[in-house]
This record gives sequence, structure tokens and C-alpha cells, in this order.
Amino acid sequence: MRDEISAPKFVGVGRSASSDPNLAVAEALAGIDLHATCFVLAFIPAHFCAHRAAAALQGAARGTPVFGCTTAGQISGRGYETHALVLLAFSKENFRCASVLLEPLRPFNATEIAAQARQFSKRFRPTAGWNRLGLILSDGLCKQEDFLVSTLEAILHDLPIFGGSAGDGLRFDATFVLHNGQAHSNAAVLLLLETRLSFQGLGFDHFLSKDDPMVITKADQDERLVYEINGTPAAIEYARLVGCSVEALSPQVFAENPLLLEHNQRHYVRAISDTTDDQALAFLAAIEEGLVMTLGRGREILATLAAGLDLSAKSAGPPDFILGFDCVLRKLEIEQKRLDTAVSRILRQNRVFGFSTYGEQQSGVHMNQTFVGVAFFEPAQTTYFG
Amino acid sequence: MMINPADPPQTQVEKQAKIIDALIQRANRQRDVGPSAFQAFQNALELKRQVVAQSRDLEQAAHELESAHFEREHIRRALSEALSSMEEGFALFSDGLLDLFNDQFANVLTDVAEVMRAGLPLEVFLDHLWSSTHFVSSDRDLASVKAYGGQPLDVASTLSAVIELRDDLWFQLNIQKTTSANLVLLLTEITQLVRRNRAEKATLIDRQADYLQAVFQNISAGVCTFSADDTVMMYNNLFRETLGVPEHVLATGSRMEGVIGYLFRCGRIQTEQVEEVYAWRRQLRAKGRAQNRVRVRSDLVFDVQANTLPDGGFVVELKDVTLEARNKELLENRVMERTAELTRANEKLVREYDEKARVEEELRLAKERAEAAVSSKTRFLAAASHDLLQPINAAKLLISTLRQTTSDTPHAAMVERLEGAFGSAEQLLHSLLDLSRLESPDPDAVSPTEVSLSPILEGVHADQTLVARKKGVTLDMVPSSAFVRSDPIYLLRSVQNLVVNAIQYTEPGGRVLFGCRRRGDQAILEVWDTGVGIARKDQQRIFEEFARVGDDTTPDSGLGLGLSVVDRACRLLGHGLSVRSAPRRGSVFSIAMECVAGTHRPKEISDDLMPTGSTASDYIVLVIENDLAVLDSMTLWLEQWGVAVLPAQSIELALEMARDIGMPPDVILADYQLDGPKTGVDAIRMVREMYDVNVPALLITANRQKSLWREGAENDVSVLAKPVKLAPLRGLIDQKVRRFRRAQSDEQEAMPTKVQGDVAKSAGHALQNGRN
Repeated sequence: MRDEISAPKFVGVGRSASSDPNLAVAEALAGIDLHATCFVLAFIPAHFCAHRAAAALQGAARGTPVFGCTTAGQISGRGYETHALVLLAFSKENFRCASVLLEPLRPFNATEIAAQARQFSKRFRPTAGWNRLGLILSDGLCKQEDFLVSTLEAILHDLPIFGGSAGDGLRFDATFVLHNGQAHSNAAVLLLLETRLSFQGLGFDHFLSKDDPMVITKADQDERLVYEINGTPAAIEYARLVGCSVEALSPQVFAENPLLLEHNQRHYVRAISDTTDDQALAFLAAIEEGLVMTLGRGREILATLAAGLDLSAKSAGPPDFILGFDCVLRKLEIEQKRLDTAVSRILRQNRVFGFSTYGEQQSGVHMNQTFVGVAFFEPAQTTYFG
Repeated sequence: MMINPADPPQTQVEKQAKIIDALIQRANRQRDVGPSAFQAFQNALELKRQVVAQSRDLEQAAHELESAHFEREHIRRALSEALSSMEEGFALFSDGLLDLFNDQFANVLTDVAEVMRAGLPLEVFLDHLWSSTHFVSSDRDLASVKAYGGQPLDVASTLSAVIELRDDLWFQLNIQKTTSANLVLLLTEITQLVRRNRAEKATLIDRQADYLQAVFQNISAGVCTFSADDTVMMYNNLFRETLGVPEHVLATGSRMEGVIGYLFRCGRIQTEQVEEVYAWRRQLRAKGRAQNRVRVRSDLVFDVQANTLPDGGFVVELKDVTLEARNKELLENRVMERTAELTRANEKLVREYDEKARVEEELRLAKERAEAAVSSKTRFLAAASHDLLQPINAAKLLISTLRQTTSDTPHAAMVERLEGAFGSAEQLLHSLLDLSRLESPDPDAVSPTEVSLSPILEGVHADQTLVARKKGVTLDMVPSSAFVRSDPIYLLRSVQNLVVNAIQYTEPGGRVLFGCRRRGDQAILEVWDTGVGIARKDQQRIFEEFARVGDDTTPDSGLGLGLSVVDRACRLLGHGLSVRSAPRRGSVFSIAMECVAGTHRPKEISDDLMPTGSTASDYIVLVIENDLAVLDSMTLWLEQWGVAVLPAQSIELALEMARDIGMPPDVILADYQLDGPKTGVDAIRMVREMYDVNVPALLITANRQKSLWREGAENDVSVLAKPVKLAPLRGLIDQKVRRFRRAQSDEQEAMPTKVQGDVAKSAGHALQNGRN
């Protein structure tokens, strides 16, 4: 089946399922011409020690910059994977890149981050005729993505930024981003890309809003913890609304029944990661007291994925490849429903590469349980053959 | 369901409260600016929405740009073609460098054409142009044209330069900035235009000079223009003629001082006027305009007006207004004369008005004096008549006594004459009294009321029958039952006077007839006699005081006041008085009165008024009445009846009067209620005791008590209840007196010593007493 799909022209892809970081790095880099590569994006499986993997990559890349993060799963040329190291090599011919490590994220100093970002973007002068975009990879457990991306959006408002939060499998323990051969937590890597390719951002989820609203009556905003919904302990009320017992609550249940937030006739998914001992719910995105939310009702996940990735209506031809940031909870639901094979096929067919995240960012907004991606297209022919 | 319906109600309410609280707090937080993760998320959403909108705009702009690019190429091509077909030379400089130009522009100057190519700087081009061998002149210098190129964009301004080239060729160069970077040069040949203008201007100047000269000469005023340095430039003949100077003095270029000097030497103007001229010139410079009226040699007047001209010179306008000025003077003089006349007339009117007011005031004062005089005369007359009556009354009483004592002596005839003379005097005084009353300004001198004629006619007839018989004149009366509107007193007096008058002027054997007849709604009372008659010429005069008819001078008939009283009374009452008469045949006097419907039955009175054989004028009636008004009317009424009245307001006065006349009255009329404790009955008793005669008495009272009637009966006094009707009263008096006299005469036969009653019986028929 894989043979039906041709490899992308404008990005090199390396993969290794080896459980030894050094071996895996070597394997993955085997098919990549480092001389022609501008930079490498690395998606590190959760079972690797982040620091070791960083060191291995730093050693093997021989000066070629490697950026990346730990993940809760990978999307390789094969589709969903859980234990593979995936590397993406962006060629010098078609890409230019600058990077900055933004830290610390917590406590979040908006002034400091804004100053860094502004200075950084000034240094990197635009090249005529090339397109610019930003990629952001951030610590998935410091709960500061909302501040981070909205600050960046405000400062770099004419730069489209896409990204995902680093993952830690399903452990929610520690996540890291890679920068200059080092694994950093409580930090984010901002990449400023220039490319000859044209690109298009995409983002979608597979939920519809259920009518019944609920109100968050007690919460800890900083910790994204909701203690009460509708004046009732959050877990109990959530279980009642979902229609199961409190004991039955599990990541799968959360994945299938996220809460939605309405804004400007659009909805944004707020995913739940866990329950606490005191019947609170831990969220993966910003919430606050007094927020009115609805329960999300899942739609046909395969169809929404296929439709979301189909860009034929908006562009002349299919994209050369798609860099994807896919929420781990989607993967969880998909696996639950045993649709992972089918989903992987769709991902393959659309040449999606990326990882399973703890959160997705697009246009300055941090979300959950969505698919965010950037589709890269072959540049216009005149320019190409010019 | 937001609230679990399975919860107990109390819990539901608590939860709802929490929900509401959370919602409200969040709503409040929306206003906070402070950072929160969710706020950041929300802000990002808003930004995203804006970016989407901007992206859409951007896409559209990109599309427009592409089509614009194509269009630009197209336009450039079209522009080149259009430029080539233009008549004018056209050049476009972008950023100071030549971008586009057409052949016409390049070929104007052959030596410049060699350097014309794209990229030529504007300044270099201009240098070439100005230094070209063809270039002759321009109305602008090169520097100013270059400076324009460096100025900031001002779309409204265009620089225009006229350039002259060799061979009398002319071009206009227009430079305009279309944008801050673009500059357009237009080169237009205007040779034809310049040449034509030049030719036209030349002829126009000639024509204008002619035209101006013609206008100058035909202006109806003298006009002369001077240059800025005061030399003559142009003038018309009228100016020279008006000024009266020879042509050489006003020759073009002559100085103004020269002209003034000439006028001075000729004696046209005086020294002070020369100074005036210079002062006037200064004023002209200062204000731009000057005007003056000048008198020359005292018989000519000029209006001089000057206005400055744009070149600093001035124009003088001279107008001979001698005639105008003279007319105006004439007119002013006339106006002044008329004003003076009017003032005089007004003063005269004021004087006349004052005079009139003064006369009116005098008249008013005179009238007041006259009125006062009449009033005092009337009062004097009334008082005099009144006071005169007193002694006459006394005299008559004495005469009456005298006549009794002399009845059988040779003096009897004389005494009778004496009595007659006093009677006349008394009548005269009564008439005077009437006249004075009628003439008084008092409007209530007469009081018209409803009057029955019958008693009046009968009363007069009864009174005068004896008089007439004495004179041998037949007196007849036609009774009447008519009622008229009149004053009963004066009507009676009038009828009486007319009848007395008629008897007086009728010879013995003649006849007097009087009565009343109806004519329409009028009653005509007429008195006929067969007397001496009145000549027509005397018929008006007879009503004057003391007028006599004919040459009648009989002393006892000389009562000139009777008709005057009638005349006055009729005039006051509005009765028509007329007389028809023929001398030696007789007269008819008539009084026309308004008839009214009567309310009294005439029968009631007429019976009592019938003649009774004895005339009432014999009686002396003592009236005692404390109410003056009642006393007066009673007295008057009794007097009219013909009796002598002693009116007394009190018992004391009554006793005094009774004592004065020296004999008891024939009858006493007394009011029961008098001032003080004594009554009418007391008064009667006291009078009776004075003369020891039981004088007949009547008591009049408003008291209807039986005791009073009894008291009357005990004292031989008849009692009458008020109000008293006069006619029965007269009858009663008559009856009482007669009965008394009969009783007395019976008694006299028994006791002849009692003569007093006889004296009284024969006392004068008209004993009258004065009233206050």
C-alpha cells in the first residue's frame, strides 16, 4: 500500500523504531543528506530519555540544527506510531530558518517573551518572494501555551504560527523541547521559517456542540483545574452529564466527551486529561470560573479527517506534504474505536508527518482534541522553472 | 439539564446560586485588563478573526494588482499613440528624469532635439533650452523655472512661460506637477496668436484714443485730466470755455500752477482762493477725491469735482451751476417768507384765541352775576311782598272796623274806597309774590299733577259772582268735568286772574262767560267778555308787567300783574295761552291743556262747592298745626277758598294771633297732637276762654281712639280723622259757622251787648296773614 504513495519532494523523512536512542538516530538519519539540509525536526517517542536522545541527535547531525520535542505518539510515513523516532529534514534549497528558545514559560513573563520574540523577528530579514511562517513547540505540561501563543500572535501578528505541545505518551509526567542539542522543559522553541514553497494552514476537530450548557462554578485557572461544574463537584457533574459513573471515568471517556467553548459561532475544544482525588477535572487548555461550556458530541472521525485534509477546493493541486500536530486524545479515541488502521491510511495518503500532542496551536489560540497542520505546496511553475 | 433534577430542591437552589455567582463574576472580569490564560485565549480568538478578514482583503488586493499591471502596459501603449497624435509638444519627467516625450516636443528646437532621450534630467533639458541658438527671450528666467521643479507638489499650480524663438516664433511652455514625482511639460506654439494679438492691440489703442477724445468732448461738464506731476494731459472745450482761458494756457504739458496763476492774474480768483486750490489738491491726494463749490467774481458759481486716476494723475470736472445756485437761493428766500407769514398768522390766531377765551370768561362771570342778581331780586321781591302784606292785613282789619262805625256817616263812601284801595294793593302783592315764585330758578316752582277742572271753575265763579254783580256785569260759568295735567294752585290763580281781568274791563251791563271745551286730547279753558277789547298791536304787550290796555287809567282797575302771572304759569306748565280780541267788542282768553283720564268723581266736590248764599270770604279761620308743611298747604287751600287764615304753629302763636285781631276767629281748625304736653283740645279751650265765646272748632287727628271722640263731644269740638278730605271740610266749616252765627244772632237779641261777633262777621273779605 505504501508504494502507491510517492514520497514528498520537498522534505526528507527518517524513521527508526529502535529502542536505543543512538541507534535510532543513526538509522533515522541514514536516508538524509545533511549537507543539503537546512534543519531537522525530531519527534521523540515517549520511552526515550529526552536528554539522551538530544545528545545523540546533536552528535549525529554534525552541526545541522535539530529542533523537536518529546511526543505522545508519532505520525510517520506509515501513519500513527507510538515508539518510533521520526526526523524531518528541510532542504536548504527551499527553506531558511531561525530559532529562539523561549524560557522560562512558568512563571510567564509576557514582557520578556514579547521582547525576545520582537528582537528575534527583526534579526531575520525577509527574503523577497519567499513565504514566512512560524512553528512553535512548547512544553506540554507547564500549562502556559495560551499565554505564549497569544503573546506571539500579538507581537508577530502578520506571521502565521502553527505548533503543538510536547507530549509524554499517556503519562503526563514530563515533556521536553529540543534546542541546540539540549532538551529543555519549561520552555518553547520558536522557529521562523522562510520557504519558496507556498503553504496553507489547516485545523479541524470532529465535535458538534450538544445543546445543554454547563457553567464552571469553581476552578483554578493557573492549574487548569475545575473543581465544580453547575455548583456540583466537577467529576460527579461531568459523569452525570456524560452518563456514566464517576468510577468509570477514564482517558477514553474524556477523549470521547470533551467540553466545547463557543466563540463567534465557532467552537473550541477543551480536553480533560484526568480526574483528581478531590473530584476535580484537570484540563489541557485554559478555563476560568463562570465559563459556559457544552458537552462535545463526536462526529464520524474518519470522515471529518478525510474532509479536513482534502484541500483540493482551496488550492490548485494536492500538497507535497503536511506537517501535522494531532491531539493524543484523538488518537486515543481512534484506537478505542479501533479505527487506527483506517486513520493511518488516510494520513499516509495525504503525506502527513508529525506527532501526537498535548495541545495544538494555531493563529494564537491553544486548543485540544484538534488536528492542526501546515500543508506545503510545490511553488508556482513559472518561479520553479524560471 | 444544567441542574440535576434528582437533587433535593434545596441543593438545586444552592447550585443555581453558585452558577449565577460564577457567571456574574466572569462578566465583571471581562472588563479587567489583567492577564489570565483564558483572557489570552480570548484575545487570540479576536485577533484571529481580524487576520482572516485582512487576509481576504489582501487576496483581493493582489488580484487587483495583477490586473492593474496589465492595464498599465495597455495604457502606456495607448498613451504613446495619443502623444504622437497631439499637436502640442509633450514631455513627462519622472523623478526629475525624462520619461516620455513625443516628436513634436523634441523637434521644436533642432539643437535640443539631439540631446533628447529618456533619462535626461529636467535641469539639463532646461539649460539646453535656454541656451539654444533659436532661443531669443522668455518672460521667465531660467532659475525660476528650475525652482518650480524643486518645489513640493501643488496640483493647483502650473508654471507657464512664454518663449520667443528666432524668426518671430512664439511658444508657451506649461509645466505642471501631476504627482510629487511626475512633471509634465507642454509646449504649445502660439505664434499666430501672438502676431494676431499684436496687430489687434495696435488698432485697439488707436480706436480707444479716438473714442476717448469723442467722449471727452461730448461730456456735458468741463473735464480736464492732469498727470501725476500736475501737468495738463487732456481737456475738452467746455472746460476751457467754462474757465475762460485761451488754448495756450491749457496746452498739454502745462503745469497746473500756470493755469491757476493765469486765473489769478485775470482776476478770476482771489488770493485766498489760490490757497484753497492747493489745500484742495492736498485733500485730493489724501482721500482720492475732492469736491468744492467755487464762487467766481460774485456772479458765477462752479461745482468742481476731482478724482484721482490709477496712474496717480487726476481728473477735474467743472460744472457751471450759477443758474442752479440762483434758483435755489430764490426758492430758499420764498420758503423763508412763507414761513414768516405762517408764523405771523399763527401768532394772530393764538392772540384771537386768547381774546375769545377772555371774553368767554367775562361772559361767564357776567352770567353768574346776572343770575345772582335775578335770584337776589326774586328773593327781595318775595320778602318785600310778604312783609308788605302784614301792615295791609292790619289796615284792612282796622278799615273793616272803621266801616262799621262809619256806615251811616258821610265818610262811608270814602271808607269803602279806602277798603277797595287796600284790596287792590293786597291783590297786587299776591301777584308779585306769585311772579317772584314763578321766576325763581327753582325747578319745582310748579308741580304738575292731575287736576279736576270742576272745583276750580266753580270756586272762581263763586268767588267772583259778588264782584261782578257789584259792577253790574253778568258772570256765567259753563261747568266741566274734565281732568287736566296742571298745577292746581297756579291754574286756579290763572283762571281767577283771567276772570277778574274780564270783569274789570267789561262795562256795566256787559257779560263775562267762562268754561271749558274739549278739542281732541286737549281741554281749552276760555274766558269770554264783551269788554273794551284789545287792539292787535297791544295783544302781545298785555302780558307784560303793568301793561294797560288803551288809555284806561282808572285807578282801581290798574292791575297790570294778573296777565303776567297767567303768562308765566302757562309757560312753566306748558299750557298754550292765546288771546283773540276786537276793540269795543270783547276778548277771548284761552288756555290749552293736556287732558288726562280723571280718577276723582267730580260729584263729590261739586255739591260742597255749590254757592251757599253766604260767601266764605267772610270767615276768619284760626289754623293750629305743628307740622309746617301741613299748615302751609292748609293755609293755601283755605285762602284759595277765600277765607282769612291765621296760621299758627303753636298754641302760643295761636293765642297771640287771636289776641292781635282783637276778636275771636269764626272757626278754629286744630291738630290734636301738638308740640308739648297741650293738645289741640287745650288750644281750642284757651281761645274760647280768651273771648269767652264758644268758637266753633274742628279737631283733626290721626288718633282713632274712642276716648278722643268722647273728649271732642264733651268740649263741643267736631273730630275729623286724618287724612282730611278738603271738600267735606269746607262744607263742615261753612255749616258750623252758619249754625254758630244763627245761634249768636238769637243770643244777640237776648243779649245785645255782644257786638264782637258782628264785627267779625263783617270783617274784610280778604284778611290774609303772612307766612314765614
